[in-house]
Amino acid sequence: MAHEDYIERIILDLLGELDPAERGELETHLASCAACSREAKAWRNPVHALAYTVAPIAPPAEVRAQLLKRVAVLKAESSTTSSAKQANEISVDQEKSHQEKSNVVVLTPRSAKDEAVRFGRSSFFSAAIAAALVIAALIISLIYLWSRNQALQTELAQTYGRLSQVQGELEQARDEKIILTAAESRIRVLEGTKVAPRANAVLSYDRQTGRTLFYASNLPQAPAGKAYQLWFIADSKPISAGVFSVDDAGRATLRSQVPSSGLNASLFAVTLEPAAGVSSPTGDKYLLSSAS
Amino acid sequence: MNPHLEQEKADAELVRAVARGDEQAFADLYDRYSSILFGLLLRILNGRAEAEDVLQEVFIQVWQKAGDFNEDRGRAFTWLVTLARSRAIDRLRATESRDRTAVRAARETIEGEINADEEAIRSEEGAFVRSALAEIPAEQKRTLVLAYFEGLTQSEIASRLNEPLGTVKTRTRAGLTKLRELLRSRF
Repeated sequence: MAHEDYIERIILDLLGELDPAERGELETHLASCAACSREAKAWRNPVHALAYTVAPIAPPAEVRAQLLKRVAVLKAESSTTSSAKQANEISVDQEKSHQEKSNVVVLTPRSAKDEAVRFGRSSFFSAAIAAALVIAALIISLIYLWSRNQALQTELAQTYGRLSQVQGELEQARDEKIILTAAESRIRVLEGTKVAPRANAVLSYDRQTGRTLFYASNLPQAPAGKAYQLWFIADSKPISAGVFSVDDAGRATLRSQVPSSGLNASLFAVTLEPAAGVSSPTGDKYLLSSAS
Repeated sequence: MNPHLEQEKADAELVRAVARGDEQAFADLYDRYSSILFGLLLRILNGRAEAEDVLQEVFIQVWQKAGDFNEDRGRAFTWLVTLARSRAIDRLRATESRDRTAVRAARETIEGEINADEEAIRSEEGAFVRSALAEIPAEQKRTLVLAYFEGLTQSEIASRLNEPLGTVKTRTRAGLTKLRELLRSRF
């Protein structure tokens, strides 16, 4: 493959497009070609600098707390494994040192009584060391099992959480499919007004059933006690399609059911209202569809 | 020392300390980069819960694989972003069905496919990269954003934009080459 082709591969790899076999082939080449390896580094930093263009958003504090806890458990597990290894090594060392002492004893003549006393002491110490090692091994095993149990319980709770999240997403996806593929499905784009020029939204609804899906972006956070309200305006009469709030990134999703009186609407708007919602709009308009 | 280089060295030292099992260094690294990585994950993925989940997976991987970090291959930040982006794109490709793709497409239409550079940028690096991105022709920027933030392959971009694959490849290459030149002084 020509040098130029490898640069193409390096770029595709940085964008995550290579399959494992292609990646392996590229890595093998980079390990043996200094020029391509330098080239890969020269592309890597600027390409991933694109991540800096995204607005930083602080994750919830509990994510940090959970992570630090998981890391502490992982560290305890790994130190338990290395302690067990160390205990093993100590026992081997002691055995060696005992053998060395025995060798010295053979070369030094002693009385039978001395030998008996020495043997007795040796047996006592050996038994004590063995007992200590057994107790240490038991304690280490208990700590390991306890921490493993904790980790498994955490993983189980997270798995249940993920399962319910996936089930929720599946139901949402089904709803979205039904609304988007319905024969009487309508899609409208709403744009930010002067008070929120960067805001935008897409609205889709089924004119037969009134089921409605609404996604908004770049809306400012609503002040305390306030929320946004979506309106379907039919014959100059506003019909509420629900109240919603935005996340830290200014995004919102609303699923609702609109009364049949609103389904002939030609105009759609979002206003800022008291958090409980109102029966007809009172606040500033933040999003507005173009008239049709 | 150049303050950017100093920061780069400090980051690399933090990752090395994490590799030695230093929990405080891990917490410091998290505090320094979790917000930017979370912002990136939210940009790529469909929901907040999923982004939180992937963020945890990424940092667990950081704890377990910090020993693999090689300063000669790139910055610590680049390594972190590579881990986060790969996991997010894998998750996206694994879970995104045809139906969700349709919904995403509808959302992208209104979010604007070149919106990444319009987000509020708080960091100095963000402002620098953003100004570089502003100098890249719009059609090149569009393919870069679709590839980098939506995880679309060159073929998928060609089909999305209804352009020949060769054109998309040329635009991607040209856009990245320009980006590399513009960022040369700092990245």
